[in-house]
Amino acid sequence: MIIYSYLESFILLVLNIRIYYYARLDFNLLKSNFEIFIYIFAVFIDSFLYLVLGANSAITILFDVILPLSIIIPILVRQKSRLPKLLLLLFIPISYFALIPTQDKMRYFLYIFSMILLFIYSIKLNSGTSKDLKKSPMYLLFALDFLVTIILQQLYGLNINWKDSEYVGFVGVVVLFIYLINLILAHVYIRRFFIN
Amino acid sequence: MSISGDSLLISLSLILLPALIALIGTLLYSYVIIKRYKKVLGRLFRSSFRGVDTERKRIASELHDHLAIHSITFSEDLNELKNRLQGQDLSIIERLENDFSIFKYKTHQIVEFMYPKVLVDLNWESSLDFLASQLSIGKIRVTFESFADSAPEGDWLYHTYWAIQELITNAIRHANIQNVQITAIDEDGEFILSIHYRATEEAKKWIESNSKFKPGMGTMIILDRLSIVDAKMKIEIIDGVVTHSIILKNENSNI
Repeated sequence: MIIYSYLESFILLVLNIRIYYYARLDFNLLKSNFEIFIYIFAVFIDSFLYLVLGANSAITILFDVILPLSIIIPILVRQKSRLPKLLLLLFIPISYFALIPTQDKMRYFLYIFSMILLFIYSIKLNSGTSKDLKKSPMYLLFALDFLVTIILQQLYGLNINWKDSEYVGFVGVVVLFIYLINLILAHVYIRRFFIN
Repeated sequence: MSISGDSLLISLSLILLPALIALIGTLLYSYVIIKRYKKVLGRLFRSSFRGVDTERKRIASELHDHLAIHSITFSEDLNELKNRLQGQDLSIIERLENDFSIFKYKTHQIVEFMYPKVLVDLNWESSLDFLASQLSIGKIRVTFESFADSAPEGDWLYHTYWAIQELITNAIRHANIQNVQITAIDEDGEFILSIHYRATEEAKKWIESNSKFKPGMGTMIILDRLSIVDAKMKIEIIDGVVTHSIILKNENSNI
């Protein structure tokens, strides 16, 4: 597990450095895809803090709230109609209550809302320009990533001793495997994302 | 540690709810993306018609030009030979001249079928008149009558011409008919081309099967060509007569 954490942090660090390098070549692209890079940066900080401080429930809760917001807020801010602005107002109390350690349900709803919005946004991008179409699978993957996070949150929030459960161990391995593949894919596509 | 059945059920539904949302979201996402790609493929398919039509025009004009250039020199040489030769040699040359005339006639026919010269002029009336005479072969009689004062832009003629040709050929093949009437009218800003023929038993069966099952290649080509020119098509059977109406927008209408 500790080897995985080091590997993940290292890959994320290199990914962030590469983003910084390419962003200098085309700053407009960074601006128009702000939420993606903020999310990657937040994931890196989360992973780095885990390495430095170990398992810390306060940091876990903080990042559980920050990660969906880092994607959703820029998307909602960018929309021109009134409904997204109202949804933004709705996210303020939800995220405030979600930061309280005992409010598991609020974090659950935060993820559910974020997931729904990401699905709607990715479907909307499908009907847009070819550039939007290219970006849409990314938001679909973010939504599926949130689904995995919700499932993990629920599994670990059941207050059951999972120590002897073989199957939960399998779930963990599958999730880590998917995360690692996504990170490698991100490395493969990041250059094309900026250059083309 | 044991947990109650209720809390287990709640926890399971808390996992199932996002899974269900994800399933619906992914299905909708796939539906939208398939719809978009289907639209693109349709557009690509229709644009391939334009490529095929350009190529037909190119082949027809090259065949025509080559035949024109070489037939002049060939005929001159033949005439010179005819003046020099006598008897059996002369009759061989005359036979050769005859064969060459048939070859020229057949090649002209191919050129005409490939890209009718009336289409170059982009005149609706003369083109459809030509089409009617071209399709009148043997016992089959196709006539054209126009009551239209104006017609849409000539660019649309090309696809409509081939669509009508395909439609009439299909009708002759499937409906066992001998008389077809093409009528053009100009009404309320629309240019309507109607194709009428007798509603034989075969015709009724053919139209019924077309409405029930997936259209065949011929019908698909007709519909694709008509969609390029943004035309609508209607089929009606009234008083024992089948009428296919092709309705085009007519910007040149006097209304």
